[in-house]
Amino acid sequence: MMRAMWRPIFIRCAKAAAALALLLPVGAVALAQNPAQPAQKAVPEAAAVGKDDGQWTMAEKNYAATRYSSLDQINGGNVAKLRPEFAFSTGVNRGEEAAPLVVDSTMYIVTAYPNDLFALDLTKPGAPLKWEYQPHPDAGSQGVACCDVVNRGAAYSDGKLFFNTLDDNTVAVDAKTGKELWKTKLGDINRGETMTMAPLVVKGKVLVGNSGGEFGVRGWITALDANSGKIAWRAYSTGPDKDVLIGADFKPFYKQDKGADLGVKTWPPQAWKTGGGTVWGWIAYDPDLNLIYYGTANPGPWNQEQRPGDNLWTAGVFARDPDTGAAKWFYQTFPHDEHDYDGVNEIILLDMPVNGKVRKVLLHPDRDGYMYVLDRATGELLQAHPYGPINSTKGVDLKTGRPIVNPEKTTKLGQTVRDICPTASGAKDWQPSAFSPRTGLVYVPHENLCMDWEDLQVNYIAGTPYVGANVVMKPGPGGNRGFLTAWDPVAGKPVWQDKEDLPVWSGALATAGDLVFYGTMDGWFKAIDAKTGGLKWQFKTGSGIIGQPVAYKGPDGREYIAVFSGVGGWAGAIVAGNLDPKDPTAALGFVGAMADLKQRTAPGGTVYVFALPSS
Amino acid sequence: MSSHCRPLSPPRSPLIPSPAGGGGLGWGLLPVLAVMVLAATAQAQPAGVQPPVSLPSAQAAPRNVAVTTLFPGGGSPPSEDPIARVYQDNSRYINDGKRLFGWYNCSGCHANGGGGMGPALTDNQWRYGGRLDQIFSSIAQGRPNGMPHWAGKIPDAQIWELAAFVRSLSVPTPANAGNTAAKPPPPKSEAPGVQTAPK
Repeated sequence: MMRAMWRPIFIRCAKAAAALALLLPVGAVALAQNPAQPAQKAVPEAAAVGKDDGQWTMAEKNYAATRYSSLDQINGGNVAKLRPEFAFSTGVNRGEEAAPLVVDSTMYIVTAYPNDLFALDLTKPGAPLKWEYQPHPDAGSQGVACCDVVNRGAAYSDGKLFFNTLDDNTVAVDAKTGKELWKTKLGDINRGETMTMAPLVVKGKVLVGNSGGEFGVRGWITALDANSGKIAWRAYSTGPDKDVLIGADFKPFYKQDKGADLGVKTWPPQAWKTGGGTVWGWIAYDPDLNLIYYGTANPGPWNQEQRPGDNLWTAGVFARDPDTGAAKWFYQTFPHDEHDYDGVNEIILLDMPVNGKVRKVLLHPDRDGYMYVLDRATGELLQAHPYGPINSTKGVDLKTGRPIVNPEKTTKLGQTVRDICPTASGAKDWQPSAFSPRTGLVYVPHENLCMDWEDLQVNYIAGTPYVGANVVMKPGPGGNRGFLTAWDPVAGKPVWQDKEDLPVWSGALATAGDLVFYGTMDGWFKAIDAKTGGLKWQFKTGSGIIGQPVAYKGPDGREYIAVFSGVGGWAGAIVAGNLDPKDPTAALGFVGAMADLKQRTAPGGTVYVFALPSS
Repeated sequence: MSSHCRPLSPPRSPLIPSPAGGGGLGWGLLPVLAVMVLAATAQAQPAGVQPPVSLPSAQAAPRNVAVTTLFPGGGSPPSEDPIARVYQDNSRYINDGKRLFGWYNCSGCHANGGGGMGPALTDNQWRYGGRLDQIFSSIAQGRPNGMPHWAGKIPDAQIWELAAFVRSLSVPTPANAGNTAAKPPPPKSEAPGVQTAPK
C-alpha cells in the first residue's frame, strides 16, 4: 500500500497525455463549484441508523448504509495485537462478496453459487456449525452470470434469513433451525436473468432485484411479503409507466424525466424489452420520508449505437414508496450510457450542510466517477465531484442534472476508442463504502482503471450475452489499479487516498475505534487509521478479498471483525474462472488489467474472524 | 446518432419471452435466425457469412462421442466420425466458424477465446474433450455448468464450423498460425491425452 495525502488526482496522470489535458480543466471546474464550506460534519440519517446493538443484521449494517460499527474495543492503540480467532472454510472457491451476518450469537454466511447458507454457533469455542441450508440452484445459472457467480449476502429480520439464489429464487430460512420457510421463483435463466444482490427488509417486505444487464434482461425490483413469500409489487426499470409503477406520485426534479411512458419513448421501438436496467446493487431506506432508494444498471446492449435515446429508466437512482412500490422521483446519472456505467452502487443517507443549509441528502459514488449528492426528498442534484480520473465526461451540469459527454470518448462501431476513463467497471463498482460519523468521512474502496472500447453489432438471442463490444481494460493514471479514498462529503473532495496496486474490490468497514478495514485482491486484510489512512495492521488471508468486512460484539462481550476471503467477481474472474491472461478481452475486458492476478492469489472461500487476545 | 446507427439487418425483432419461461428458450429471435433454424441449409447463412465452398453431403451430428477417458473392461475411445476430417484444419470452415462465434454470441461468454462467463478455449484444457467431434457434442448438447444446448437451433454444418474454429484456438493450424510452421494436428482417430485401455 502506498499512502499519500490528497492532491488532485488529475495532476498525477503519468500517461495518456491527451486524457490529462482534458482532465485538468474538469477537476478545476468541479472544485470551483464548491467554495469553502463551514467546518460542519455530515451525520447519518438518525432514524435510518437506529440503535447499534453490536449485531450485524444486514449487509449495509443499517438502513442509512453506513457500514459503521459503534464498537471501539479495537482501536489504533491495540489493533497491532489483532489476531485470527477462528476461520471457516465454506468449500466454495468462487468470488465471495457476501457480508457475514451476526444475530443472536450466531454467524450466518451465504456463499457464491451454489449459494449454501451456513450458521455458526458463536457461543462455543471455534464457532462450530449449527446447520447448513443448501438451495441447490440450477447449475445452468452459472452460464448466465455475467461476472462470476457471486452473492452479496443475506438479510435478517424477525427470526428469518432472506437471500437470493443464482437461479432467481428468493428464499426465507428459519434462523434457528435452518429450515426453508418459503422459496419464490422470480426470474428465468433462459432469459439471462440471475440474482446476486443482498435483499433489504423494510416494513415486512423483502426487497430484491435481478441481474443480467449483459443479457438483455429487463430489470426489476420486487417486494415479497416476508411471511408468505408472495409478491407484493414489482417495478420494472423500462417500459410503460404502469410497469414502472409511475403514477400520480411521481415527481422527478428534471424536465427530461417528465412525461408519459418515457420508459418506452426514450428507446428505439421495442428495445426497452431487452434494455437492461437491472437492480443488482444496494438499497437504502429513509423511515422518516418512507422512501427506499436504489440504482438501476446499464442499458443493454453495451453497443450504444443500437439504442439511440436516453434509455430511461436505466443508469439512475429511483426513490419509491416501499409499501406500494410507487415511484416518487428518478435521477438519471447517465442518460444513454455508452460505457457500462451502471447506477447500482451504494447509497448512503446523510444530513449535511450544502451551501450553508443542512439538507437531507443521499450520497452515491457512481460508476461514472462522480460522487453524486442528491436531495433525497426531491431528487435534485446538489453536488457531483469526481473521485477518480474521468475523461468520458467533462463534468455534470448542475442545472440540467446531465453529464457533459466528451465526444472524443463516444464509442463507435468498428473503431477502437482508446483510453476511456473510468473503465466499464467504473471508478468504483459494487464494493460498498463506509461512513464514520466520528470523522465525517466516507471511505470509498475503488478502482483506477481505463479502457479501450470497440462497438460490435450484436444480435439478441435470449439467454446469451447481449453486449456488442470489445473492451480491454488497463491501469489508470499513475499505474496503481486501486484506491481507498477518504472523502469529505461536505467539502466534496478527498482528504487522503491510500493507493493499492490491485483494484480494491472489497467493501469497507468503519468502526468507533477510528479504524477502517478493507481487503486486497491478493489477500491482505488491512486496518488503517480513519483519520490519516496510515496502515495500522494487516493479515494475509488464504485468497484475495472481495467480501464485505463486518464488526460485532461476541457473546463474551468482545469485539470481533469478520471478513470473507475468496477472490473472484468481475475483477477476479481471471482466477475464479481460470481464464486465459493472453486474451485481454476476456471477462468483458477485465483480464486486460488483471493478467498478473494468477501469480498473486488462488481461489478460496474462507471466513476469517479476528479479535484481540482475551486478557 | 451516427451513420453507424442503423438497425440490425434485417431489423431487430423484439424477443418476447414466453411468460412461463420453460423450455421454449424464448426463441422469438431474429427472423434470420428463425429461418436458419427451420431451413438448416447452407443457404441460410447470417449476413456476412459466406456459405462454405462445399458442404459435406452428410451434415449430421457425430455418433458415439466419448467425453470420458474411462472405458470399463478395457477399450479405447470410439473412432472419430469421418465428417470431422472435412472440417478440421480447413481454413475456410474455421473462418466461417469464427464469424458464427460472434454471430451467435459465443464471444459474449468466451471472449476472443480467453473466456469469461464460459471457460477459456485457448488454453488446450478440455473438460469434455478436445477432439473435434467432442467439441461438436459440447456445443450441440450443451454442458451442465452453463453451456447452452444449440442442437436444433443452428444447422449441424455450422456447429461443425464452430467446433473447427474453437479447436483452432488452442491447436495451431495453417489457418491461425500465420507464417510460423504449424504443428501437425494430432492423429484424427486419437485425441491427445486420451489413454488407451490397460491390457
